[in-house]
Amino acid sequence: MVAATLPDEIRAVLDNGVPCILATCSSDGVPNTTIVSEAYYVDPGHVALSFQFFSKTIRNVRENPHAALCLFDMEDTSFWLLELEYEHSETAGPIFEEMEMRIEAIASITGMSGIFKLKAADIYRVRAVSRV
Amino acid sequence: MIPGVMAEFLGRASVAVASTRDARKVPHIHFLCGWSVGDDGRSVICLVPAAFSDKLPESLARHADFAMVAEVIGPHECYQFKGRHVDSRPAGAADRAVYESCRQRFVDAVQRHTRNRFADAILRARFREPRLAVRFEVQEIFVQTPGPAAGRRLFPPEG
Amino acid sequence: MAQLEQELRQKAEEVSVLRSVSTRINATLDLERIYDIVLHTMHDVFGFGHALILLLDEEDDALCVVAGRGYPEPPLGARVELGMGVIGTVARKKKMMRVGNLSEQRAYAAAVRRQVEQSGGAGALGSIPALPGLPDAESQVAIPLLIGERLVGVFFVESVARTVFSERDETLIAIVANLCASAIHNAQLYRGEQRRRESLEGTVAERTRELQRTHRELSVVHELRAKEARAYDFDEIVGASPVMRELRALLRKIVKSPASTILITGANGTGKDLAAKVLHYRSSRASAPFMTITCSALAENLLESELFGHERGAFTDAHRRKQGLLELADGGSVFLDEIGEMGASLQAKLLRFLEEKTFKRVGGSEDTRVDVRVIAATNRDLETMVREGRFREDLYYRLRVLPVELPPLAARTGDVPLLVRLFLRRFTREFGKEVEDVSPEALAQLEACDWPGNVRELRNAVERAVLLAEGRILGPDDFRLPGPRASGDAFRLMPGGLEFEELERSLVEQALELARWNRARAARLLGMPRDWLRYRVEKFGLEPPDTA
Repeated sequence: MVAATLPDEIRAVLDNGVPCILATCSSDGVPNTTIVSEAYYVDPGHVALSFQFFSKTIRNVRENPHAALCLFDMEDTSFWLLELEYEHSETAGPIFEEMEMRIEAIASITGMSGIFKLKAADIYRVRAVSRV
Repeated sequence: MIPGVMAEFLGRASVAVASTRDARKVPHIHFLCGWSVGDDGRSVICLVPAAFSDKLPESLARHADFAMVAEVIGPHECYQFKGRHVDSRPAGAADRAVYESCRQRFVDAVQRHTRNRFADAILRARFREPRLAVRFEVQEIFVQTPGPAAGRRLFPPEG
Repeated sequence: MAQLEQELRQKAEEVSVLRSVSTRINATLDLERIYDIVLHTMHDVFGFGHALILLLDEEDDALCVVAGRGYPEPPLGARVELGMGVIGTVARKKKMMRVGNLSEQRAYAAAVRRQVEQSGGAGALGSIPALPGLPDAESQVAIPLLIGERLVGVFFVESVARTVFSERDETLIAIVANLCASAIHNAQLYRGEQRRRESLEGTVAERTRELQRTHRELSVVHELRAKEARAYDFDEIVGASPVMRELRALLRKIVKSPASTILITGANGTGKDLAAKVLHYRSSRASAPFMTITCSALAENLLESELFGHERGAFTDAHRRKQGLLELADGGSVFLDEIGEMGASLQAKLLRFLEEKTFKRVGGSEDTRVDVRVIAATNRDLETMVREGRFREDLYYRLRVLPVELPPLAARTGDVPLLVRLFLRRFTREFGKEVEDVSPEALAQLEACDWPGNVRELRNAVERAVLLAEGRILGPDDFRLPGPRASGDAFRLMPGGLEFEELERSLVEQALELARWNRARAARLLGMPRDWLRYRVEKFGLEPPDTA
């Protein structure tokens, strides 16, 4: 198993609120690109993404676990590229609860309760980290 | 043919990102610094900076599948264009106008959206100089605007 | 290296600030001061933009803004429901939260909203609530204020300028918030204790006032009783005649005895009431109550209720339990005047009480025991009534344990002058008249009368005489003597007859005028009981001059 460790400095980038890019690929080789609003730091070896609307993404990673995440660092204008591997989805537990809490908070402010529903927290293992 | 409304959308989009895949079906992300509809009306030309173009033409020669998502920042109007790579060439002077136009749209959109929170320079830095111009033929267009309808195919129409 | 040094310096500064906050917060139990310290730290020291403190209102499960800093007008009093927005979600989940790039979040939500509306799903959308804070905030941190697991409130910081609060910011805010939670909790406890103490002090003060009032009232009652006790001395049984000396000697003996029943007999106006009071106030029961009831004044069922009391619901209008005279007089005496008028059923109950010292209230089932001396009085011939079956024999003998017979005035006419002068002194003082004496002629005539109404009648005659007197010496003409009335010559009906009601009305009016509307005195002038006079006042619709 190939695994990498997220450096500390990436936590601020994950937090900076700039939407990140997630790319997946179906089992028959068709890539899929989505812009996601938030990626969550789980631990040095994992990130989590919220599954709300983009079902093609979850279908792809269940067929083919490889994924790529691109973040933009506003501090030094560099891009972070993460090679990820989908591990599992959580519908309970601390990660799911924390994500759900944030989504619920935003949903209630914006009149979107019930629409903004966290379906799952998708957990990805970090395979590689690079910066360009 | 790319529907006119989609072509018009691409003329408004403020950010675009492409993805390809390699032999192991590992996806790769290519942050674009410009995009425009090809003269044939069926393809889109994507300008790719150096940081995202390493071995890209070779990869595309073997695995031509190409996906590009474009968004108008602010309203989050977003569509994904999927198709197959046609050809690639080094970016040149002819692409400059597209690059600068797209970059400026990006800067303007972000500044409008964030009420001028960032320095223009930081935002412009995200749109690095193009190295490659990659053309792909659009075969499908999907709604990618967040919401319950995300993933619906617009072109060719579903059903 | 320089960066490391800067970081260390910054950390040292932060620690110093936190220590200062901790010290200052712990030095006060004043809520407003705590808010001020905490908000000042957030806004002025750490520069965190805008901060609010919300406390939980447990009654309606919502948070209420109690303090704010950095706002043009802090939204004091604004309410946030649990689960609403960042603040409400943090409160419900009792976990801190940090959100950033809110403009992006709002734009994202707006995009989704548009899509939902376009697809015809607008019904699923909720309204955007009005929440305290900045509508264009870009980043927020909310920390639940917890005491153990109990939510006290939420500490909230937001910024327009910052895209996001860092983890370090969140940690600093959380530390201050935790200090705040403890301080608020302690201050609330203190305030609660203060309020309880003030309430207790208020209660104690009020109870003390009540006690003082009761003490004053009791003092008044004791004083009145003492006054009454002084008033009802044996010497009040006036008379130098042998029969009166014997009577006083008998009363002195009786008051020392432990006998629980006394029967006083004598004609109307011989002073049975006075004798009963002397017997009470000269006894060891003087400090206890003396209760009186006239057995002819009430219907039997009401008399029973007055005497024995009743339970709630014993009869219509019995809305609450009532203590009877026997219970109220516990330790003292009850005077049953006109005992001969008591009905048979009540006689039986009275007998049971006299024998067992217990009774049941009307409608009650439990026995009540009291220590009461019963002094009964009658002008009737109870022996004859017993023979005729109108009075219970066993009750008669039970009452007659210590009989006291009051002689009629006719049996001691030698006491008349003594009594006349006694009454003269009393009424001249009362009416402010300067009547000095009664002429020997008048005295002789007074002595010669039969006085069927006894001492009362004599007293009334002296009262009337003093009231109407114009000179300093009362002569025979000043007195309306009983003799002529007894012979039936006082008034002669004219041949043409008269309107009796007019005459009656006129006499009543005159008596009231003479007595200056003192009804008791007016009744005495007319020689009738007060009830009779009251009846006639009502019948003729008479009113005192100042209320007419």
